[in-house]
Amino acid sequence: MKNFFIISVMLLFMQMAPHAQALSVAVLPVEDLSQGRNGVNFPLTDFLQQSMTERGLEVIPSDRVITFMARNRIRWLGFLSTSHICQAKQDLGADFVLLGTVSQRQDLPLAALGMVLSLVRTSDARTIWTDVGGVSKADVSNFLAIDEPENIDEILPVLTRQIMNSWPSVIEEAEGSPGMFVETSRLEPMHAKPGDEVRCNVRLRPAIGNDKLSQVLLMVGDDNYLEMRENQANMYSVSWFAPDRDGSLPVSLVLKYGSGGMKVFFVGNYQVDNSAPKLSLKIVGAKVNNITAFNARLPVIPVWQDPEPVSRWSFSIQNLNGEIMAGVEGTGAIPPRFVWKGQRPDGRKAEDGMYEIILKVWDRADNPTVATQKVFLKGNPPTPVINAETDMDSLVVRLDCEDEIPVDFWTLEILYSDGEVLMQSQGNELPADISVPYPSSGEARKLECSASVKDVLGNKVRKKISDLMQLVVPHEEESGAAKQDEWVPEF
Amino acid sequence: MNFPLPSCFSLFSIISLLLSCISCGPARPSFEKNVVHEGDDVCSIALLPFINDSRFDQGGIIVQRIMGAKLSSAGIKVASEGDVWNLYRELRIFPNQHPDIEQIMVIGSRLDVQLIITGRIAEMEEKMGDNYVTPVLALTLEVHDAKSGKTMWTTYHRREGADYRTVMHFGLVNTVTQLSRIMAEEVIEEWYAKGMKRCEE
Repeated sequence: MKNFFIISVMLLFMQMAPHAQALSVAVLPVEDLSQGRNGVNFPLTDFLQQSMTERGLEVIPSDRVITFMARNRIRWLGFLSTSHICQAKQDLGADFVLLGTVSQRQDLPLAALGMVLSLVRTSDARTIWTDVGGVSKADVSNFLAIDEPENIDEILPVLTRQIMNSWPSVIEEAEGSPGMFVETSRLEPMHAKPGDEVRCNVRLRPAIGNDKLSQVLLMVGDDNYLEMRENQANMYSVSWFAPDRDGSLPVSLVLKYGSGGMKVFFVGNYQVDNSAPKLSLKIVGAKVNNITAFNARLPVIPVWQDPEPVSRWSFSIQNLNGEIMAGVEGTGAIPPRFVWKGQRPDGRKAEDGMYEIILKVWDRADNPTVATQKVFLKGNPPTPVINAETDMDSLVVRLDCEDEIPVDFWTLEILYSDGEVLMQSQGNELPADISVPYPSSGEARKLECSASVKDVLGNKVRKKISDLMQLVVPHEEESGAAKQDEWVPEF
Repeated sequence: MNFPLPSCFSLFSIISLLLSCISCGPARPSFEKNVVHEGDDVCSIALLPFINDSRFDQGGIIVQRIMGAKLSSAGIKVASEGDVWNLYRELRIFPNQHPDIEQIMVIGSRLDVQLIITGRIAEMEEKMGDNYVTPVLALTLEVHDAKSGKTMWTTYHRREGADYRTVMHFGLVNTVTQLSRIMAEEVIEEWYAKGMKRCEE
């Protein structure tokens, strides 16, 4: 009979034991922002664990908490996501999670400590208690400085006591579920052309409780419902083709439950865009025969008719044979201007001639547009041509230029070999005839000629002739003189 | 009527003290309302990462955590910071960038909250003296409707620790944490005073 009584009492205690079990709390390592974003304060964590034990809570050992964090790749302290809070309940059996952040911790000029503590219930991921405190040595100074805290270690108990004053007298468990149902969602592309395939993938949180998910729908636009297929556990996807009309279409996820309940989550908008971007090129340079010409540096400025964001672009310059002279491409916004320095890809100077500038742009829906313009490169200087002929009583020097590029200005100087200037002339149109008094017959010095020509593109050249008389072409009357009948032995 | 000299001095001292106490009375947060919240009681809020324009290291996170703690204490369900960061990653929003209207709508829908708060720390420092510290904090908060993404109201608030001085060194706030805590309480009280409905859950 006595044994029966003892066994009965033991059985009764065994039945009661689970109900009498203390609530458990996982104290996560305290984040210490005074040491930067990755700071951690283990002594304070230990202090808080001790404080929780004193309050009658069962504290999950630190090594289990650290292992849990490593396994779930929890990289940041001070907060947890809802899924990690639920995971803490499953893996650690924690009823609550205590999160702490040291907001400030300094010794000088006055010791000060600040802290934020939060107690989160793992059953519904709800913060059931939180408080903030900051204590400085100046706050706890007293008359005659008796028992006054001097450093952070002495301030810590004061601060903890101050914060814990608001600790709830009763901490209750609650049956519930966290409010977040969708783990991730992805809608792509966000910009599509008519007929493009648009896809939406979602990952849902495993259902908690008896209310099972009965249908997962995607609402595209206002009234178009698509049923999502479950590819893997809790992962759903659906794809469809973008309609023909341009515009923005909202997409929402609709979760229907067996109980008849329904949840709607906005996933995002996607844009249907069928129009290509409109832009042109503005090229700064001199106009020659209605074509922009340049000599060394060509600034090209894209000009939008209707600005819109672009996804990528490519800029290239090619000659009339299709050979690429220069090219660059990129993603995102187009640079405000491009500059070609008249060079080939290997850095050598490009040959004079006609080139085509091509700017190709794709908008976010991948609609392309191309802006092109032809330009003329003239990097070599003009070629002046100097001729001279005799007139009745003067020498006529003719200056001309072989290039098609108009001349900006020219100068011509005729001087004797010893430096005495005979004539100076300048102008801005070619050809030009300059008449010089014919040197006297007794003049022994040679006539020199120096000419400078600059074209409208800025190319300059200087040409010097050391003996102008060598260029002299006899006048037509002289060329018509009687020919000698026999050879003259000159040598 | 001849007052004795000590009495005159005492009277002058008392008047000066009273005047000084009146002049240092704390100012209310400046509040600009654009749209009236048409919902019911405000019971759920998401705090997005605050942008720190001050030189105080981690100032944005500190004020955000304190603001979150005070909102929780006021009985409002504050969305988990971890969920907010997950959404920032999913929507490709940089931490020092505020989301656009559509992103706010997505965040609001996914976190199932009524309001979304973004913040910017304009000024945060602890002015150091030989044996004293004066904390300073200036912040701007924007409150958005989670359904429409629209900004409903904005609040600017600036305080120094010395603003709370009562007499001599009494009342002084000596830490930036304590100042943030008091300012968060003042802002929340101001919101309630201007018409935000308390959660009656």
